[in-house]
Amino acid sequence: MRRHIVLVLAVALALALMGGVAVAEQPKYGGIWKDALGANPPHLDPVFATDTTSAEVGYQIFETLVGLDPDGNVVPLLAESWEVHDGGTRFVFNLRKGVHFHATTEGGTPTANGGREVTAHDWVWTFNYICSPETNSPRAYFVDMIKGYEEYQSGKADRLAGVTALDDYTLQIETSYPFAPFIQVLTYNTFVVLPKEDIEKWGTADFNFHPVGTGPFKFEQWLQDEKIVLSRNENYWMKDEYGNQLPYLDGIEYRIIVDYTIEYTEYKLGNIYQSYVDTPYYEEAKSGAVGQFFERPQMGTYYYGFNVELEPFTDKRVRQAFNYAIDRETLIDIVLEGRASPAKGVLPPGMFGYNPDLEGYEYNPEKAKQLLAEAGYPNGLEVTLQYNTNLGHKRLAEALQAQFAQIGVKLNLRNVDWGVHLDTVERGEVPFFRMGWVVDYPDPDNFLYVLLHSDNIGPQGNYSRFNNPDFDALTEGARLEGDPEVRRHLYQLAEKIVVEEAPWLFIYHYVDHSLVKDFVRGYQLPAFGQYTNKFTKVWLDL
Amino acid sequence: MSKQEMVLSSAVAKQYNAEKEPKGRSLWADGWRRLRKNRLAMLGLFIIVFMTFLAIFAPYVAPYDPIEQLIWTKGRAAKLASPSREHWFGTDLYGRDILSRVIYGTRISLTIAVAASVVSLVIGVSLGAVAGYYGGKVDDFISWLTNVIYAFPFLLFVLSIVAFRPASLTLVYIAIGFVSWPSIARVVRGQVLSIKETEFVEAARAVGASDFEIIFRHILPNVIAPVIVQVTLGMGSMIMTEASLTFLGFGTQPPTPSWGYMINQGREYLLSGQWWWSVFPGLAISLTVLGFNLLGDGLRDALDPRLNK
Repeated sequence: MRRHIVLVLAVALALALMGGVAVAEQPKYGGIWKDALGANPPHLDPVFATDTTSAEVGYQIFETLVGLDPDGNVVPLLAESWEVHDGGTRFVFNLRKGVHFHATTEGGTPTANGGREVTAHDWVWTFNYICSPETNSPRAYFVDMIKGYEEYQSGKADRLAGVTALDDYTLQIETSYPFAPFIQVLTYNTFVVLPKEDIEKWGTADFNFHPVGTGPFKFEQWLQDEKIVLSRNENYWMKDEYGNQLPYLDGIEYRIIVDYTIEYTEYKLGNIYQSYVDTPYYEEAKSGAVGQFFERPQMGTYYYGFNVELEPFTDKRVRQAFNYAIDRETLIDIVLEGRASPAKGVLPPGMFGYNPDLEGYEYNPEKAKQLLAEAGYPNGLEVTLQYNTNLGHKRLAEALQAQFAQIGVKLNLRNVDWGVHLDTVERGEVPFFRMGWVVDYPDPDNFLYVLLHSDNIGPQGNYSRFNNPDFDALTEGARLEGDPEVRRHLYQLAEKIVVEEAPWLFIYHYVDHSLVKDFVRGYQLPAFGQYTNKFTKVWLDL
Repeated sequence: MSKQEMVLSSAVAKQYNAEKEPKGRSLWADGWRRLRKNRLAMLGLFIIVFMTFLAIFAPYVAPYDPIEQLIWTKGRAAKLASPSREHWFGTDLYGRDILSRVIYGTRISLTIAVAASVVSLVIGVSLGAVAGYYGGKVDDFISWLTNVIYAFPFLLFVLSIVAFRPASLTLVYIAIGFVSWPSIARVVRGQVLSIKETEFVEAARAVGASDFEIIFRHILPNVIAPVIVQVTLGMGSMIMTEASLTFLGFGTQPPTPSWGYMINQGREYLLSGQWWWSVFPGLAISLTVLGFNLLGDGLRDALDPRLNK
């Protein structure tokens, strides 16, 4: 832990120094930001995006009411300010004037909306669209506390009662109960403002391939499995501190590069300006010789999920045995070069409700064998782990293969691409799968309720199909609870149940890394991870 | 080249002298005599015998268990250790001994070479023989099929077969065998076409032998030599195909030590300087394929003296 604090301080210091430089230097316009995506994004339509790769592109094209600063604090974005009334059940947003939808897209083609100004009525329409039962967004339930959500979803009401426009620039959202992290939820990449005309023009299915928003960059081109090109939104509303029009960059080109070795090589060749740093290149990157290096703990958890509805994981003892079988400390220290922290449970350190005294699973192969024998597998068993194609996942899986062999478990590995993986896991077809979750809003609700409540089985996030009434009751109670101390207590009780029932093989909490060329200015690694970065203020000193 | 020709021509001369001797010898004995004179072929044979020896006796030859990950017991020191007295070829990320993995890797490569050859032999010989013997429409059809398979990009075709089902060794050699038979079918067909016109086949037919008997008893034994040459030459490329498939993640699955897989994993660490992880299995592949190719060339020269005229 101490190491992390030192790193955070180091990064903070570096950022402070860089900030100083940025003030002294006059930003330059121009240039294309060249970057890599680790997979072909499953969705560019933010209403359906549930993963980080999709969000990484979406953050450039679309904008939310409120955003996050690099340290993860909620800051104004399309709402200039907001007030909270009625004990935290009524939110009034004062919208920014002069925000326009993209006027052109895809090589200068005019958009259906014609680049008109965004008003509170657009927000009302968008929230209705996202929460409509016909749209069937997998993330609509993130805002299911909005007044009238149930009625609208079940078809009893024809609109979402809780979202109203008080005038053109004032939006009101009412919730049925005070939900503590509500403002944070609104920073999630689904709750962006959408142009009605363009969605109607393309239809819900095709808008994914012709996304139009208000963000600093406009969509230009998506060559499947090859690249995504964005161009500068010349009518963007934001200005820098000198009154210069933002963004500075002419555009963004994301190349889809699944292989870290190739990504790093491309970075070193100068073909991309930002690279993830895979373990083999960690030492070199950290030395600072190949660019600006960023490292920062990321609120997130890397785990292997058990589908508790499929054999042999219907038996709790098998799931516990797997948890006892792995030596997380050695794994992280040697295979991952210490670039993570061992996971005892679900919640990552730094998050509200994180329980430092939680009793997790220690490394105990004898106990694991004994549990397997009790579960009826005295001679071990054979299982297949499905993971999405990625060198890091493979490297880790192969290390754990040897650990499982020790307790008589033959672990077969099967890799598929990210879209297929997510799809089959969401449909509950995979007994044992790799998965990771990074924070959408910094509250235990985003982990415990979203990932493990029985209402959210499937694409909503409960991929393990975990179903425990006590756990459900605790996480529901915590949603309605206003007192932070009581909430913390409820979440800690709920997490204990998860650890005991072990629907996951808890592995580690993330540390994020990024390596950026020396000529890049204004770049920061956000607390929520590189994928949440917006390139509004980044410029190239070429 | 010239040196090899000299060796060969002297072999032919000796054979000529030897043929003056009254005692008759079989094609095989002749072939072996000629092969023995071919130093490159003998080097190839030696490599293959050596690799086969390693494959069979791997548990006795390999200094370590090929899948044991030493990092869990010996810690950081066992990770990516450079070649040393304890680990001649170094260790990989998990502290596995690369020498032992290369030695066990011979098992995979040779199994693939043999098993895929059997598959391609069964398909190639039967189709080739039928095509050559019956001719006409049957021949047209089989030759067409052969050309179709030939025309497909080899690796892509294997990949599309393998992608249908979860990867396994059996699937890999069936797939490789399935796309390798056309060259054997062509050789067999050509041979059968000429042999079926010979007098001893006429004689067999005259005494009432069935087609089946004629093909298997009288024709095929005369086709064995060119088929052996073809198969030996094919084995090298089969090993390469398996390595490529495994490199792409479709072939042998971890932790089974396979050369192609080791190269793929080690590739990640080439940039950071740990060359031994992929270089040694790479050398092993090159050496084995070279062995098969040298022996195949030698066999062709030895068993088909007409080539030298």
